Amino acid sequence: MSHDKFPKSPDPARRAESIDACRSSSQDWLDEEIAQHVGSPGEDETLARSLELDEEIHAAYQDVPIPAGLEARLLEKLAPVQKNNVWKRRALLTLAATALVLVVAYCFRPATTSSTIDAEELINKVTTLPQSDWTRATPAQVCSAKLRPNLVARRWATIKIDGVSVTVFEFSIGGVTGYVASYPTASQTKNFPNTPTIGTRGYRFAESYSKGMTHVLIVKGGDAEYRLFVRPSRVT
Amino acid sequence: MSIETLVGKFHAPLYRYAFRLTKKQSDAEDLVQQTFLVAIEKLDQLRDSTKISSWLFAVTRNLFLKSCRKSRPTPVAVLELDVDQIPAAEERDEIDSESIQLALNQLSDEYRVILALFYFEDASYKDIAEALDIPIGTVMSRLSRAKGQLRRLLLDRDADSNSELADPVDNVSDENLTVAQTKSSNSESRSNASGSTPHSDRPRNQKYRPTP
Repeated sequence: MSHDKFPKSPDPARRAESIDACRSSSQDWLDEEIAQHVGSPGEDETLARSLELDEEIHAAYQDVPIPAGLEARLLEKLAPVQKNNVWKRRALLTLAATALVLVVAYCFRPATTSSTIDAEELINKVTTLPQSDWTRATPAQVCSAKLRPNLVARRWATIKIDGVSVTVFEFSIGGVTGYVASYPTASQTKNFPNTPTIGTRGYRFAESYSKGMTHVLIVKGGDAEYRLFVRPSRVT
Repeated sequence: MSIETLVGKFHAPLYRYAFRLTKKQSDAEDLVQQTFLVAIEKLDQLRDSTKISSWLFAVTRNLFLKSCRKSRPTPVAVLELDVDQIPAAEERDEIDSESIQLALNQLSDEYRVILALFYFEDASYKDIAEALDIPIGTVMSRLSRAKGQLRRLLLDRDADSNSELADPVDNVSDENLTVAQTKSSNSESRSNASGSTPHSDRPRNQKYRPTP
């Protein structure tokens, strides 16, 4: 029953596949790969018949009656899902915004705050530093904490607490020893108070902040000894 | 785009597409519903709004293929009618929606999908290769075989007998059961008389030759 007037291809299987790849809606027979095996519909009767049949199939294929009420049924089933989805999206957006705020807050958190160094630990470390760790202070080495004027550091040392590098200056006035431990912190400002914040193990302890540094004043003795080191006019 | 607009615009073409794939009204409706559910979730990810239609068809197709992998048995292969055996239009019966569906009911899911792409989406063989993520050579041979089987089921009067034997009755949709049963009962006597048998393992090159 073959009616090939255009047996262009030596490979019948490839020719059949090429004809079957041609669509009636576009000139696929001009495609480089297909053109090797197929002619145009005008000269290739097999292709022409195939396209004619495909057109008929194509039309019948699309002809499917739509069940009555389909649109309404779909909308009825989808409406609650869409509502849930809106709430889900809002919740996700809120969650994402919260997460963003937390991330930003974390990124811009103060490098170190005074609360990260325990007072007890600091006092213990500073007051038990071995002699060998101390270095005699020179006039050029000035402690930036605001203390009583003309107070000159005797010696200094560097210690590490929880990975934070702390510089310690030792002072002495009237036989009373005091220390100022300084480390980087948030950019806030506060002077030493007239009354120490903490009194522990025979020491008085207070904090001040200036120019991104936290200064901790540790004085051996009571409140009177503590006041020897701070500026009397400053009351905070 | 609101869900009302989306459903209003696309429910009909999607249903037609789904029906040709699933063979049953209820399955087609479920598939369309699932497609819209995916659309509600992911439509905002679609960058080019002019491609909504083809995107929805792709979603429908992928959902169908996923469901095939889960449950559907593969029907026994149907014989093919080669492209050079197509009779002239005046020598054959008219093809209508129902005859197409009866024929599609007897094809494998794999063939129905490629035919849906070709006849419904009007996709070229290159587009089909991209959509199904398979090589062009595979598309050409699969498409040719699918069309060959469809042609045989549509055009060859003896095809009914073989295909009815090859395909279990439960593969036929509820809507078409009456028609299928009638055709089956009419064709069984012809089948027995001609001695046709379902050649499920017939090699590709042994094409069906209609009896004179």
